[in-house]
Amino acid sequence: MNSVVRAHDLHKTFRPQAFGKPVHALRGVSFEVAEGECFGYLGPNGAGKTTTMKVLTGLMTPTSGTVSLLGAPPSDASARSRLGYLPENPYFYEHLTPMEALSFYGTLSGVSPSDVRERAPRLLDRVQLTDAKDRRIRGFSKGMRQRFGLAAALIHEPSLLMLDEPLSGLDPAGRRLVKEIILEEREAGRTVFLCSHVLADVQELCDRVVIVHNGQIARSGTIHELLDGAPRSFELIAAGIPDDLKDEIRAAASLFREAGETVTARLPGGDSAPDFAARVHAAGGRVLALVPERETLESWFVRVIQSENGPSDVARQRAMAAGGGA
Amino acid sequence: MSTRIAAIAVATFKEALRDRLLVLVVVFAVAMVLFSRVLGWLSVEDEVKMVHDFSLTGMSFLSLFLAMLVGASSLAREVERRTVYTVLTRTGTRTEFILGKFVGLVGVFWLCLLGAGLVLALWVLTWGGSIGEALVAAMIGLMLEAIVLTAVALFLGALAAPAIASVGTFAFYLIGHGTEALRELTDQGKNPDFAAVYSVLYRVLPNLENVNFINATTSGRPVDWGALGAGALYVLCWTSVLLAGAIILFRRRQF
Repeated sequence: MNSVVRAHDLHKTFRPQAFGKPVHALRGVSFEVAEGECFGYLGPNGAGKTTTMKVLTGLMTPTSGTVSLLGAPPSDASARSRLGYLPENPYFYEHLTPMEALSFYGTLSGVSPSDVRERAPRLLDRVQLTDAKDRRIRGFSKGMRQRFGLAAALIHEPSLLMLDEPLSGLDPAGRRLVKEIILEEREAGRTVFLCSHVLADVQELCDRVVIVHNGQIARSGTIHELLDGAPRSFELIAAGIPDDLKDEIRAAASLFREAGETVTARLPGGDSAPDFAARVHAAGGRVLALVPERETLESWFVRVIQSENGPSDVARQRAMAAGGGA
Repeated sequence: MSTRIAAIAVATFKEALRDRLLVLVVVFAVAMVLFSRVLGWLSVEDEVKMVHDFSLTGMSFLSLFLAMLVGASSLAREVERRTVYTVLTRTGTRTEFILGKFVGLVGVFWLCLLGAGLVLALWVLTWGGSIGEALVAAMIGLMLEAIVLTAVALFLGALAAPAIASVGTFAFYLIGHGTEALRELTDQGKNPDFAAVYSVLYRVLPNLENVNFINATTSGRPVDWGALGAGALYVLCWTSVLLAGAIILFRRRQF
């Protein structure tokens, strides 16, 4: 595996007060991100995600451990020259227009003025800010800032994109747009390191994820490996079921609804649901639908965090997984 | 100057120009210049001398207030607004960031001083005075003072919270204009036991009187350009040390 990001045994300890109790934000975090993959870095609030991002981008130095970014430490300007970083809730120089700000960030990244002039209008068009190109960023909505931040992260055509909550504050159309851009960048061969609370989006975008919890890696793997291909349950919708068979289905189902002669039942994964469907058919009933329900990243995430924390923390994690924070 | 330092300087310049505090401080300085005429009427001394003295002293305060209110909070504001995240993750170094901030702030402070200086020149001409090389020397001295005050504000801003950095900048200004008293104490020989201490303090503490040419505008003596040149070198040495300190502190900073 050709690693673009390599973190080895990262530790970061803060001491909020001179003689206060130390806070261990990272405790031996190790992972690698392969070239060209979209990598999801997940975790509940306070797990150490932002600290990891800051260490990876050179904004913070680890207490111990090593980081390699595109083959060099983050302190090396050559590594940062190929990094496109979008921080969470990004702020920019408010008085600049998007064109001026792209020129500013392009210059800081070593892009020639002629390249900036050529790329900036194209990027603003791509994030649908062409109409606002002469307005000051101060008047931008949160979603517009987010889209502009993505354009600023792309101005120097980086090899690695590190995006911290890139879908935060966006309306549905904005979310779709940003997701399309991320997928296009991945298709173009760029490596994407994505930190997000919106797990449905992570599932849609990422090849591989890592869950960090209490400063340690709790789980890691590809989405396929982690979610297991087999359905966790089935939804059976049928009509004209004989009463005795209906009772058997009711007993096996975790959820059972009856409207007229139509029955809707959630049955466990495995062979029972297809078996019931076959028996309904054999008994002269009509199987209207048999829908497999696979585990989502969100429900898997909640399950993992629950197993790490114990059941008392489930409600908080559910709220976080739904994007509401904890 | 690298293009990255220039880019940061331009952004800092534009950002500071739009700071409302800056407008207030400049209005205060211009008001002091205009008010100097009233003091001229009340004074038994030469009216134009009063206009010069009071206005140029007001412009020295302008530098101080700009450094205290805009310069000392400049780095903290970048961190608080997190604009620093989008700058330091690019190819530029933290050294370039500090130098860019310094150049941008000095640029905007000089612009304010020149604006106030222009108002002063027009005011002096209006009331029958003349613009000579002494006023030019005094203006250059004030601009040199602005350089070192900006460096102090950035150094303290990299070290401590904006309020403490402001107070520290004020203390530097007071000490800088009071150091000359130590030499006088030594020369007068009133406290021979402390002469050695005064002498050491005089050499160690900053001395902003080296670039204070305000009195030259009214003394009638020709301007000692050599002394101004030496003062410029002195200020640049202090500025280099302070900027080096700011860079060292900022390079160690965790965000």
